[in-house]
Amino acid sequence: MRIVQRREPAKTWSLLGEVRKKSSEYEVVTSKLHYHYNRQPAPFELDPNTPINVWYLRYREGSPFRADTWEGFQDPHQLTYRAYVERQAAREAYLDNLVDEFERRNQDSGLQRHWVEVLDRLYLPTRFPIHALQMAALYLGQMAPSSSITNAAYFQAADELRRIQRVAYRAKSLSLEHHADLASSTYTRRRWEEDAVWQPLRETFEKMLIAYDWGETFVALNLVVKPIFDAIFNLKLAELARAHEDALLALILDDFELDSQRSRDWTVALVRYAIAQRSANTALIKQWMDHWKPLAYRGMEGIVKLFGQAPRPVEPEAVSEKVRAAHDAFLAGCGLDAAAVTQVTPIAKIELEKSGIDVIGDMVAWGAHFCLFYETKEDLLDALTSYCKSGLENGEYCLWVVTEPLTIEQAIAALKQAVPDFDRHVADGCVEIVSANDFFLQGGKFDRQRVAEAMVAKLADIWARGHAGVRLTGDTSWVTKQDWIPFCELEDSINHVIGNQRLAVLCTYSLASCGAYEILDAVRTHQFALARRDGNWVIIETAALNQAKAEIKRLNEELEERVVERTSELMKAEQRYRVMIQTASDAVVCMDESGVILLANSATMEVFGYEPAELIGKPLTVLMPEFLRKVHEDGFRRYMATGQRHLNWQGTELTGLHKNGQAFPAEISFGEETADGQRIFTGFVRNISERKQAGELRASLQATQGELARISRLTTMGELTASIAHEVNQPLTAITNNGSACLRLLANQNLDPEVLRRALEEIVADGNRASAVIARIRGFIKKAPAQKSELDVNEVIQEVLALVSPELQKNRVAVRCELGKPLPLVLADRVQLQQVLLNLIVNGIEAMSAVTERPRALVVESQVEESGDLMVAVRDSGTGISSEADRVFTPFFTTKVNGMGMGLPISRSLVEGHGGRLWATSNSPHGAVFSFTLPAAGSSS
Amino acid sequence: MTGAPVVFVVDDDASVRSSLKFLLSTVGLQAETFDSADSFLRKKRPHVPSCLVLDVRLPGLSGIDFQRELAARNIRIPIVFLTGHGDIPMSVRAMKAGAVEFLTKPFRDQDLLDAVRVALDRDRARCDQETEMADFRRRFESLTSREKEVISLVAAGMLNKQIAARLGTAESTIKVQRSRAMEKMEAESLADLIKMIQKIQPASEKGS
Repeated sequence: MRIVQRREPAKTWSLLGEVRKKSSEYEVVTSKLHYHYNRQPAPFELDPNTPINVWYLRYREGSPFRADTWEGFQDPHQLTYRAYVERQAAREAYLDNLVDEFERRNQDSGLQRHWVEVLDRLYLPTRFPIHALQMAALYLGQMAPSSSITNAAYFQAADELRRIQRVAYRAKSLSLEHHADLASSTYTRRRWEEDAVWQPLRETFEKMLIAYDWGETFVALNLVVKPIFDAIFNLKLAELARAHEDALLALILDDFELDSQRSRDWTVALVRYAIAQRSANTALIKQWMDHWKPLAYRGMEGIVKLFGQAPRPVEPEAVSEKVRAAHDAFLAGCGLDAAAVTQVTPIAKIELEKSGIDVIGDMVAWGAHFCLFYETKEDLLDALTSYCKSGLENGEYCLWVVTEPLTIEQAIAALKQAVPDFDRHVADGCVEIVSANDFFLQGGKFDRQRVAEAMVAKLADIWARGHAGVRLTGDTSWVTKQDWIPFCELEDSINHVIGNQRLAVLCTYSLASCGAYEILDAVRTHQFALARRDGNWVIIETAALNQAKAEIKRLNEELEERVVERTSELMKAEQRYRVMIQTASDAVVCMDESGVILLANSATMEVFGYEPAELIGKPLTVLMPEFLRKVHEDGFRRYMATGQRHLNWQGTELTGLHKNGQAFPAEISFGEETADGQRIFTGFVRNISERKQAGELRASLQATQGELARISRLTTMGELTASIAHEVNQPLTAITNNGSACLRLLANQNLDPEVLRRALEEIVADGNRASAVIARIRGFIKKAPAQKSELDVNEVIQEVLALVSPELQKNRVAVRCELGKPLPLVLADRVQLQQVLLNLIVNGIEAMSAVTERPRALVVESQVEESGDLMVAVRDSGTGISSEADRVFTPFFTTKVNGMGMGLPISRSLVEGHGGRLWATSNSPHGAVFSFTLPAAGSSS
Repeated sequence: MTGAPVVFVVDDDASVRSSLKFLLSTVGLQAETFDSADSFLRKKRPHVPSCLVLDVRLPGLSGIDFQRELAARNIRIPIVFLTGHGDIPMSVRAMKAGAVEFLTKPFRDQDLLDAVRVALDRDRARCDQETEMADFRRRFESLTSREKEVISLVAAGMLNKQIAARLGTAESTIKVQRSRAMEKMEAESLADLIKMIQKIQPASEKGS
């Protein structure tokens, strides 16, 4: 389940405010750090005319290499300092291990003396040009207009430092085995400054160091000088080292090539970005390149001569060619190919294509350059047909260069048979079958350069036509012995070209016409080879391929590890959130912008009566009562349009609709988040009917408490006494006066009947008045009509004890309950029952108020009698009652100073009104017991 | 003092008022009823023996306060208190303050009538006393100044010749003045005279 947040989405860094998604680590630590770029009036807070400001304004802000903003550029590898250090630490560890291993085997001593001389002249002096590369990279970083460019340049500088370190190291270790001068930088410097072969390159480098314009530095360094230098001193030198059994150097240089590749990658990205920002940058870059390329090539021509002076020499021309080819391919990858206008898309990730050949199956990646050894023509046809067929089926362009023993017609026939709509493909121009003569040997001679150029042109043409990829296959049996090596070189150069493009090349070699050397060469120049063995095609892998595969495997494993780690972290976090959401007792519902439910947690069952799965896909309105739906829709629409909310998102009381049709009060909070450009709304819903009920209950309980308190106050403090007395005494006085007067007159025989009548009338009137008062009192006591319900007497006892607990405490009375369980329910008016208990308990408290020499103990008991009736008793340890126990129940009987004596009579009448009895007995050793019975509910009484 | 005595009844309850009036009428007593202390105070006090039957808890004014009020106004009328409450502390205070009786409602008719009689007797006695005093004072005022002097000294117990010596006249003059004063005072004996004088001039008695 998506991780959602209850509150507003987390703010991103203010610097990246307009970025709507959460920023990556790279973005956070790399973006927008160059406050000084385009700052007015000058980059730095100094006089605009101070040299530093002038410098920047001229060579950065003033550079013709411009864009509307450079902040859009991102390093394709998204390197941060942390990532870089992590990565390079691993690489360094690898190299250290290599070195240790080779030292253990004492390899240096085994190196040929001549080879060491080559190293002395060719490798050790590279510390100086590499240092220049480092300085240039730092300058570029310093002058770059955006922090992302700066960072990439700085990491590049760090890469150069790595190389220098290893050169120094190798120098030292070689010096130990061979001659001490090797370690002397002075000695090596002389090579750099005085050796003729180095001077052209040195000139280029030193000129590069004074190309101050930041754009020009970038072009000179990253587009021209460094790629060429790296091609010579990583790639070609590694090859040379291998040839001379200096595996350590080769491996070290191979590792550095990874760094170089990274540099090329970000260079490509920046060039494309710059061109996309301003198309005029293309011409500018080309202009700079036109200036620097010749310089760089001249430098190259100088140094490659040393390749020809190795014990196992390599033709300098060959080296140059390869370097140029690599450089051209690289430039093509930047979109700067001078020849073609078309865009060539470098491959960002490895795409697999169906090879059509079973044994390799789907494992042929773009850029595969493999060869196939065949014995018979049938084998050849077989393999190539299926190769082309799958290409055509994938929408690729197939170029089949045919040579003896195959003819074009045979090829066409075979394809026609294998591919269903072959003719259509032909009509669409997806297939080209040419003879090797025409393709390779125009004019009868194999001109490698010409063929290479033609191939590149053809490829460009094919790309322009928009094919998904290109499959090339050609047979080599036309190649004569003298053409063999140039042909291998052609193959080699093709490697560079196809590495970056959607091109797969299959070269077929006839076993009949290949000798051992040819076979070895073929295997060497291809990534892998296929051969038929026992009727099955098998793969012969080459060392280069193996190494590459191992490297990829290792990288993949590393990546996988990291991915696993990251995933498990994410999963743990998600799990935590999931648990939180799932175990929340609130229902959590997510909906999208259209108001449709995307997700729901299991609490929806409890709250709404729906299983989560039932709700997904339904509109949110199913969870609301009818009358709320329009309000919600209008409000939501308004929010989506204007951002105005019509509810408090932190918590609003609304009404929810249960599946069973019942509406219920609910409290809902909302949250919103954007994920992948989509807005997700989350609601947390809580059923608050219990809370409301509790509120209402509490209110009514308080009312009852207030009522009881008032009554108890009256009955205990005798305020009732005063008011009743006064009310009743007036009419009583009048009655007795009138009566007495009449008696007197009668005694005097003076009573006028008229007078008597009036007197009697008044007596009656006053009598009525008195009884009205009494009735009012009775009504006052019995406030509401008796509402009988089934009660648990023990519960009521507890309630009353709770009510009087302050009185108990104040009077220091200890209470003990002996409540029988279970008690049958009684049918009674709760308030009246409370009143009776209150009266008895309060009486008990007051009876003990004079007691000091013994503990004041109040005991409340409840039990079931044999008759099935309930009996409740209140015992005190007070002053007790006299022998005439029943007298206490007569009205106005009281032993209390302030008492009126109405409590017990009223209680008795209330109990009797419920069909029970109330009586008093003496408690032993002290005090009184007041007991009452009530019939159980459901019994007849 | 002549004139039929009147009983003033002050009670906020109408039926109590009317029933009391009725009861009192059976023993031939006149009653005037008021529903509040205020209305009673506004009424002029007739010169007949009277008493007050008063409910202690009148709205706005407690009985005791009313008692004090009356004393402050120098209205000396005997009070019979009635109360609908069992107010013991109040009753004690009321009695100490000079009430005739304190009855709780409902009361026995005889208790009330007895209390009223006592009150009226008291009032009559007071009335009589006041009348007598007024008489004596009038008589005294009718004496000449020389007679007043002589009679005061006679009441003090001085012999004629002592009085003559004191006042500087002849004894025979004193004898004549004395007998004339006695006549005017209507005193029948010296003892009588002394009583009268004492009543009129209780302070001067002490003074000489």
